[in-house]
Amino acid sequence: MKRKSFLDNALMIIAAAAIIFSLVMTAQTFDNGPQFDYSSKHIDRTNPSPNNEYVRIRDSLRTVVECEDMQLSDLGVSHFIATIGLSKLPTPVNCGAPVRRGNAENKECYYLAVAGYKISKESSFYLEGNKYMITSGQQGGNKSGDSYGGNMTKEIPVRYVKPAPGFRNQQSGYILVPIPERVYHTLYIVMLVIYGLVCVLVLQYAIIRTLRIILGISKGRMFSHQSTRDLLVAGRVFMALAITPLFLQLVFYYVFNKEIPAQIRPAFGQVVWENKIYFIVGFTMVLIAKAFEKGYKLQKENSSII
Amino acid sequence: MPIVVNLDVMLAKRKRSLSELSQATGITIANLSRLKNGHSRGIRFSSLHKICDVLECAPADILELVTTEQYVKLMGRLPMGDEEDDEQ
Repeated sequence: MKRKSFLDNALMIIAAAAIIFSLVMTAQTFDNGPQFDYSSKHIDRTNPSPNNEYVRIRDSLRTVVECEDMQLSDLGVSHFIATIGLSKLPTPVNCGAPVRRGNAENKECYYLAVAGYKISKESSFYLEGNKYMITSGQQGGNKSGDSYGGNMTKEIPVRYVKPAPGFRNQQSGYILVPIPERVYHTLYIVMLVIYGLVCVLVLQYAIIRTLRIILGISKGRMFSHQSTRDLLVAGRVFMALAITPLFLQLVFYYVFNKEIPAQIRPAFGQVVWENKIYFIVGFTMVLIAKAFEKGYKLQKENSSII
Repeated sequence: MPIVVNLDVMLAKRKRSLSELSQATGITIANLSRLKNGHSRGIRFSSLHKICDVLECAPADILELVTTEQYVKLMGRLPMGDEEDDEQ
């Protein structure tokens, strides 16, 4: 009894914190800073940043830039459970190169994908052939106290994908970790199984039980032990749906910490924001379940008074 | 100190059965039985009034204050309220 009560209270505290955080985020203006914009329309020639240096180099290759832009926002064929998923993309090609049959460039790449990552304002990800490159601005100083800047470019083992406009209404990007084809297919089967289990869980505990509660209330059986339990279980399921993406992202972050460069950071806040509806629904259901529990006790007490 | 409901004593004195009392008062037999066996948490004044009216007695004739030990001897268990505290 005490253990269950502690769990519910802990879940409600987490949900309340997430809801408050979401409200704070709503109040703030989202300012991701000047994003790396490949389009030559957005050149600021007065600002000698690494962004503009790159744009000046690629200015004459507009079609190449557009091709890369598409590659950088394309998740290919992807399947997700919460924030973890699998993606299959064509091998990055040199934009403008002719596509030939049997060409190695036609091969597909397989990735383990995780959502909820943001690239820092001073950095940019791009493709150089089939290499994943990141360039970031650096600021330094010399002995006389003058400051100077430069940019550092390096190859990284993971791919970054910025979200295509309108895709799941997300503002954070994706990290794609290359995996062998066999691992991809194995994980795909595992994901299908997990997806099936999650669907059954959600159907049974979140949807059917909620409908049962509504049916009970419509028949006048509001404060019953069954409806209280159903409400509590449904609320816990919604809270689990809200917390699971965050948990998965944390696990992924620690597992692949060495592969992901420091310039690409997990946007935990963004994940909380995107799952805010589950937090709100779960929190509300658990709160109502607590009220129903009290109501049930009072009703039971009242019915035992002759 | 718990309260014992001596309904069966009063019914015997007045030579009436539980079902007769139920019909006369409008309180169900199940509820009267629960009252008699100490499974109810309380009684409304309206119900007490009806019972006393039918049995022609005072509330003190039906309700008796006893010690916990006496209650356990009479009823064979702890009074309601104490049982639930133990469960928790």
